[in-house]
Amino acid sequence: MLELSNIDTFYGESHILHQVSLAVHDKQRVAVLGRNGAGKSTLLKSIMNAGTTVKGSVKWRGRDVSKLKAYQRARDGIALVPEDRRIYNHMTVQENVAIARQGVSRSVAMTEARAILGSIEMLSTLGERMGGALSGGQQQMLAVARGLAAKPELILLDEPTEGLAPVIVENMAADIISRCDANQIALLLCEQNIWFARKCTSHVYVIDSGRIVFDGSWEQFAEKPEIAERYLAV
Amino acid sequence: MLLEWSFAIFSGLTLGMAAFLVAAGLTLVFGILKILNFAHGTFFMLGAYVTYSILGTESASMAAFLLATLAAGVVVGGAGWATDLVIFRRLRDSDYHYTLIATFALLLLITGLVKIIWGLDFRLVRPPEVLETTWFIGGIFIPAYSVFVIAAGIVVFLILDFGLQRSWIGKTVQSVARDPWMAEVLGINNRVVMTAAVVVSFMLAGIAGGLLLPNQSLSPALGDVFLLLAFTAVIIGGLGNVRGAFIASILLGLIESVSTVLLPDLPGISIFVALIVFILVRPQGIFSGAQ
Repeated sequence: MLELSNIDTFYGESHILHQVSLAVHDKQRVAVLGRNGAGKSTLLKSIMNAGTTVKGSVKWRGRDVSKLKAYQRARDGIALVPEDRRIYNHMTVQENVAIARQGVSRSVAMTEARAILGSIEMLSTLGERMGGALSGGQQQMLAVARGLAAKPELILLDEPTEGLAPVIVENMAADIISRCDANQIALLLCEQNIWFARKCTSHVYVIDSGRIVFDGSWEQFAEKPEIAERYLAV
Repeated sequence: MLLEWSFAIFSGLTLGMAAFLVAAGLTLVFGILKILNFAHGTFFMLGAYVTYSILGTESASMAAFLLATLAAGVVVGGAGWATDLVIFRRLRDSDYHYTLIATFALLLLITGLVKIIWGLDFRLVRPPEVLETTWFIGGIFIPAYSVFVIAAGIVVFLILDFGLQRSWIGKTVQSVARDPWMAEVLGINNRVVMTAAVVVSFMLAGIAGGLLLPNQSLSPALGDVFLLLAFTAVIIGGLGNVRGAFIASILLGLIESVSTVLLPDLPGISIFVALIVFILVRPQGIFSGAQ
């Protein structure tokens, strides 16, 4: 479904990702673990072509999309939920969700947004509240809801658990799994929270200093404790 | 004395609304693209010349006047599209200094073209017949054309404010202005939105040129007259804020008009004083940040 082959990513002159190869198959849920600054967010931005310069091959559903802009990739079925949430303060919660739904009328987008929000306990009564008036946890759920509203085939989640209370993280894991399964959405999750990543995914990559240093199942990851110790320990 | 003040306030409102008609496009394009378009006044002037070329100097019917003004808006909007294609689009990620220099060069270019096409002569264009009337109300003479300018300013403000604040398109445009990165990631084609914003901004300049044409001496210097007032309104109102520009335009019009009553020997100075005071006291403007 998504295939990165030997990509190098740059911010201006800075070389961030080095020869990264990664694949996400249809409906597969994949995690990328790494410390702060390892290149996780840059990896997701590279997949979206959002603010980075990427060299190498990015294939989406077997097609080279290297030349597609971020909005074209979004319309083509890839949704990115950024780490810093980036909720629009001038819009209501419902409008924040609806804006992600491109290619349909406003009324359809709003109806779908209401349905999505209604299914999320934390947001179900907050549709008319302004986006900026939400708590951090609510904003994070809203960012995920916005990603789902686009009806993507692949959702990219960038550290969704950051700053959230443990109980919320636990609920979020169950919620993400059930929604991905129900809507047949593949997941690429960048995380530092190993418990959460393991709960949500079946395959794991570890990234360090812009290079993939591990690629395997969670069972294989468990068999190599030195990987976590060397690349993930704080 | 009361009559003198009443007239000053009415004149101030007229001047303020005229300034807002020019400032509207200027603040819109700054709010969305963060571009301070030095050439905005010249496109206002271009709109006036296009309207003049269609109507001539004699009174036309109201319908002809409005159609000619609309045509000026379309022509100048087209020039906006070309400007975006050739200049703004290339400078979107550049330092703002480059944009200032580029729009200043554009100002010189358009002014030069206008001189070549229409010459340096001053021309006077009469308002439409129905706006040549003057009413005598409550002891003061009220020109119908001034009432028309005030009404036009209010209508343009209401359309822009509703469009930006209430409509879905306006909210999408605001999303692009506030966080273009996120907008693009959500599937919005920022380039199209920004080009549309430039075209609308230039159309507003062209329409303002047509609407205000009968009140002015038409010459290649016309742009300068209103540009200063419009820039001041945009700065005082808060860069990129349409509501701020509207309120600031009214304030500036009233300040200028009232100061001619209070300080008849110092014409024009009050606006500069107001600008300095605002920059010192409230540098972010009446409303801070783009709308």
